[in-house]
Amino acid sequence: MTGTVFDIGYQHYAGVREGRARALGALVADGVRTALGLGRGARAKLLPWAFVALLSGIALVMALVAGAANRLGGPGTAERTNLPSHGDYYGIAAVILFVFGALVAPELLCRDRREGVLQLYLVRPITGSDYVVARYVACLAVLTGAAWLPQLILFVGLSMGDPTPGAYLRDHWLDVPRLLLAGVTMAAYVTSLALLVASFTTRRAYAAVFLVGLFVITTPLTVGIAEELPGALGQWVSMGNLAAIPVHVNDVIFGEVSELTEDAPARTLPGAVRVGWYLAWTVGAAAILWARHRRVRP
Amino acid sequence: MAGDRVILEAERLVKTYANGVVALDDVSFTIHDGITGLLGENGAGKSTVIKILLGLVRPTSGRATVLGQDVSADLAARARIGYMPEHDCLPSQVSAAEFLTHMAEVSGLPPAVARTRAADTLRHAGLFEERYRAIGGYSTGMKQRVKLCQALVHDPAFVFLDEPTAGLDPVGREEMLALIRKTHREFGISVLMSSHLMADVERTCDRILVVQGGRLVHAGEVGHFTRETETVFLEVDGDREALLAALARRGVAVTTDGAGLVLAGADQTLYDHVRDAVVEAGAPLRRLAPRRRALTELFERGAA
Amino acid sequence: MSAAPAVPAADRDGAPVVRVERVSRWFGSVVAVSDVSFDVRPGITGLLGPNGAGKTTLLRMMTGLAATSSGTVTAFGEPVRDNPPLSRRLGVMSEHETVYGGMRGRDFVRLMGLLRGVRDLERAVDRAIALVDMADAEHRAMDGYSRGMRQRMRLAGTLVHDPELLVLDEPLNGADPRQRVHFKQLLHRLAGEGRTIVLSSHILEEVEELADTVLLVVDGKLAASGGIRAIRAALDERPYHVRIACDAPRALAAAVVALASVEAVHVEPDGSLVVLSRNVRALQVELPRLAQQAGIRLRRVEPLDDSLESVFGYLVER
Repeated sequence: MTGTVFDIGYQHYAGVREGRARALGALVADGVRTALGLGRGARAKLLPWAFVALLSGIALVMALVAGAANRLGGPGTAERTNLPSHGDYYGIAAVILFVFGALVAPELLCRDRREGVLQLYLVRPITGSDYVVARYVACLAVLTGAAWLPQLILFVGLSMGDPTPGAYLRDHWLDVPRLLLAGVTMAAYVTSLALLVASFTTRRAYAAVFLVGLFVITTPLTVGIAEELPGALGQWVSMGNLAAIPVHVNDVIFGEVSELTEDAPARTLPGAVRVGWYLAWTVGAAAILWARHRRVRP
Repeated sequence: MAGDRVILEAERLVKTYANGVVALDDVSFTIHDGITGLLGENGAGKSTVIKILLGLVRPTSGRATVLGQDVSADLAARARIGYMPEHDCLPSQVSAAEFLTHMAEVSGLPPAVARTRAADTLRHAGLFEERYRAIGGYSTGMKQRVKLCQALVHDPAFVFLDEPTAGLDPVGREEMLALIRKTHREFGISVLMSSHLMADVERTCDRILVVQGGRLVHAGEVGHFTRETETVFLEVDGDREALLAALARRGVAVTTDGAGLVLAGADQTLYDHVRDAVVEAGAPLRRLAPRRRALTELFERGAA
Repeated sequence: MSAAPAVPAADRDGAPVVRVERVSRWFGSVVAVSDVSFDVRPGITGLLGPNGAGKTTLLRMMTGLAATSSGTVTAFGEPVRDNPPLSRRLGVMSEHETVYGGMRGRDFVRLMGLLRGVRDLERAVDRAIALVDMADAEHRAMDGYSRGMRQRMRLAGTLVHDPELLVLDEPLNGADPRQRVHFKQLLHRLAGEGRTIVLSSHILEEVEELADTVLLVVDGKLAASGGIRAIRAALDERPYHVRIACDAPRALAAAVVALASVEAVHVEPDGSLVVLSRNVRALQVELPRLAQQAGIRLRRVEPLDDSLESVFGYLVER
């Protein structure tokens, strides 16, 4: 009978070291897990999944209402009576998505700085900008998912609620690329602004409150003033409504004005102007975020 | 024991900040395989050296290389370095196992390898079932060990530990120092340890570097700085009058030092005189040892 | 080994500066401090214990910052709790290192002095700052200080009103070696002036250097008090280990193992002997005699478990 004692002591690693791509992937995955509370206990999952449920619930209700209308009034009733549909969804859900972003972004940036984890990242083979790019991608992925899921539920609901789903799909298949584009543009906007604000503080609560205030308060402020001002001036003040900027892009994509923006003087500005303004905010904020992190110190 | 393989080399490091402050003034040193202590007063340039070695700060001139790779210029060089910061740096929500796996991946290890190395490193550091609980619930001692683990998980050639025993109670401190010794002796990883506690350095380090006023003022083996002097310390219980007389009769020069006596004499026969004097006086022999220098002496009177 | 001490009788040296009598403190079902009694006299007393043993709670009760759940704490004969005039005689330095960042060092010390009603404030501030050797940095804002400098300025704030009783909780956190040397000299001087200093620290070598008496708290109870040597001697069930280096280790080992006071002799790889004994007094007398008889030169005789660290480790494990 032979016996063997195995060496379970420390082993050196002589295998491959994969460099920045692996690191970035790990940071993105970790960011998504943090945002959604995965692997972090039940309490961490509560808020993010509640928001996803809320956003999806709205879409579900919209689908059910349209389905009921079609059943009662015959096919096409929902469209004829101009019940809210894909183009209107973001107008309705924008604020909720903003608040969700205001909670997710600080989790991704503020925690690491507050708890001191950032210094551990900075001594690894990645740069400060690598770190923030990975966090951006994670935030964008989560918010895009939260923006797409309800719209897809709505689409499926509408097509199944139609007596002839096949016909519905044939007639409305363009809605899909539109809603995907609108979803990602909205998510990118929230990601850029929310992460930029979160990068200025180590306390998640401050960032979240500031962001919610930013989004929610500029609305009544600018809407109220814009309505009093004539012409171009009114239009530009209305463009200062941070909550509506991505919704204008949504309008451009769907070619119709949604509920949130139907009274805004800015809706009459050319599509290119509205999209350009959106890009200024989204890309501009992201650029500042990136630049700030290039030379970040622990 | 310490070897001669060169792990890290700093060549003529200079760091001047924008406001004119000269933090480092032409500092050069070599770190060999072993446990090296980095000593120096607060504000003397020690943290600047640390930041340059970790690649966090670019030197104004000069360069630092780890195993031949320039740390400031080459991002990949950081894959061979581990860092255990002094202050809090652990996320509270995540388990140690997940955290370590994540950190290993960020250092470039493939996911499967990262997972197994994370588990192994935690085991070597003495963390077992706890590793699956959230770090927020760990004791200080456990957190310090996780901090050390994240510095080791990617199998670096060299780890830097900043005040590794800070905040630990005496038992925890002893355990951490034992773990540090294990890191070198069993894992074969070189250690640079920054500490204000000379007792820790004397017990754990083979060599030391002392930074003062932006310059390197001492470098060498600990044994050299704690070498024996030419005096001997003697302590007996009870009345020592008879002992003093017996020593005087043998021509031994004696000075008192608190509860003990300091005897001078380079000659080895001193020990025989001590023994005989103690027997003659019937004094219970509590302690007899050559006096060594202490590292604290480097700081007691200006630069030695 | 004595049972947990009851209230100490009146001592030969006069009234103690601080008297802690049967003090307990609980938070719900968590008992942080359990029936602790001791006296503190002038000089330096070290307060030791593992993390979570109740040291900080005990210090807070001793300075009147926290109430006791049962038992009393008196200082200078008066209760410490709700006793503002007493705070003039008491200087406290807590473990928390946060300070008002934008405040200049000197202003901080002045503030401490004002709160204590110090007369001749500017002179007192000058003196306190000079004691901690921070005169050249006193006009800078405290958030620009290094950690050691902050600690020193905090200490100046603790000393500005010239207190007779000082309670310091880990005052040397972050201090570099030179600051530590300086601080120890300062404490010796303050104690020499007749003050009473209670020092809580994890660095046992330093407490051993500084303190005349120690109080060891384990799991909320007082596990030991008094002089370090005396405590060691009181642990008579614990064997002593003595390391011996000599010219002829095996020969000495053979002779030593014949002694009745010796239980065991280990021969170490480096050639030294470690002798286990339960009657160390007898060993101390017999060893040199044996060596002389055998003509062996003794180079080193060192007790291995006399140190505070060793005593601490043993008492905590028990």
